[in-house]
Amino acid sequence: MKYLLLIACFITALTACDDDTKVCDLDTRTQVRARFRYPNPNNNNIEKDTAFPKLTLFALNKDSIYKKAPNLSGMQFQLDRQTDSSRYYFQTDSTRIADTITFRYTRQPHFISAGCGVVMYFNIDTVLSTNHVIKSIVITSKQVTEENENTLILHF
Amino acid sequence: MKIRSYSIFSLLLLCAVTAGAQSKKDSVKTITMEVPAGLRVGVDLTRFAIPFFQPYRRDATVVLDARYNDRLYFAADISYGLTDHSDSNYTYKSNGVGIAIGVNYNLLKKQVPKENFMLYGGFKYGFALFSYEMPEYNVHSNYWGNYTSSVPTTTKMGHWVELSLGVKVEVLKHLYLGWSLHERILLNNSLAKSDFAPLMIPGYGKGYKGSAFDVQYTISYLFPLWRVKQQTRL
Repeated sequence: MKYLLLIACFITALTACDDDTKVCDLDTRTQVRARFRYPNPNNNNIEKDTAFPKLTLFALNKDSIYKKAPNLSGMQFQLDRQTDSSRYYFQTDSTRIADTITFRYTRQPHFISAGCGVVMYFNIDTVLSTNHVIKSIVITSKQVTEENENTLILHF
Repeated sequence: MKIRSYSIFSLLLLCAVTAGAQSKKDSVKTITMEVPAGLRVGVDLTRFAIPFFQPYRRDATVVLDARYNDRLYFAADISYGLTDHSDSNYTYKSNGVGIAIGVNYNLLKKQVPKENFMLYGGFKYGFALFSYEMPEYNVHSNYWGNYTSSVPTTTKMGHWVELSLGVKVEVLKHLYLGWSLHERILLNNSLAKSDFAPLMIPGYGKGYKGSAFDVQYTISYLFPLWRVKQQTRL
C-alpha cells in the first residue's frame, strides 16, 4: 500500500512538471453554429429540423466553406478576426435564390492555456439577412467561444 | 438468540481491548524537556530541476520556518519567478516575487528526544506581485488568416491560500531534508478567468488556473537561537 502511495505521489509530481506549453488539449476553434428549422407542412405551429440537399456558404470575396454540400441540417463557420462584421453568401440549393447573411459583433482575444495560446471570442450584436429563402434568424447565444454552443437558428 | 450472544461477546471483547489500550496508554510516561530550536532556512531543490521540464520557467524559492512551541512552527516561502516563452502562438515575458506566510503543525508526538523529524500539515496565505507582457500573439485561422496583436506590460497582484503536507528529517546535525505536497487555491480567481490571464504567478504556479498543485523538496539548515519546551513520551 505504501509503495502504491509513493508511486501515486511520483506520478503526480511528474504531471505537475509537464511542459504545458507543448500540449493543447482544448478546441481552439471559435465558430458560429447554426441549425435549420422548417415549419411542419401539416401544422405550421410546430417546427422541425430540416436538411438541405446542396448547401453553399462562403464569406463574400473568399473561398467556399461549404460547396453544394449534401444533407446538412446545420453549419459551422468562423467569423472574421480582423474586423467587426462579416458577410456570407448562403444558398440552400443551386436552383434557389441565395441569401446574404451579415453579422455585426465585437471581438475579444482570450488567452485559454499555455499550450493553446490565444483564441478570439465574439459577442454578436446583430445578425441580418435577405429573405429570399430564410424567413428569420434567431440568436440563441450571443457569445461565440471555444465552448462552441449553438449560436443561431435559421427559420425557413 | 445466537446472534444476541455473539453481539454481547463482541461488545465485551471491544470493552476489554479498549480498557487494555487505556491502561497501556496510562503506563506511558510523558516528560517535558527543553530542546534547541530556532530559525530553519532552506531552499527548494525542485526549482532548480524545473527548467529541464518547463524550459520557459526560472524559479527560486527560499523556505523558512521557526519553531514556536512543541508542535507549532511559523513558516514562510519566498519565491522569485521569471518566465520567458516564445512559440508560433505567442511570446510571453514576466517576472515577480511571491511570499507565503503561515504555520506548520507537527503531527507526530516525540518518542525519542534526540530524533528530529516531523510529519506536518500546513496552512499559508500567499501573495505575489508580478508584471507580464505578451509582445506578440497570433490567433490562427486557415480561412480568414492570422490575427496578430500584443498585450503591453501589466502589473498584477495574486493572492491565494495553501494547504500542505510534508516531512522533514535531520540527516546531519542541524541539516534537514524534506519533501512536501502543496495545494493552492487562488483567492482572486477573476485573474485566472480574465482575458489575458498570467502564465505563471511567482510562488503560486499556473496563473490561468484557479488551483495549483506543487511539490517541494527542500534542504535546510537550523540556526539554533532559542529553546522550546517539548513533550516526549517515553
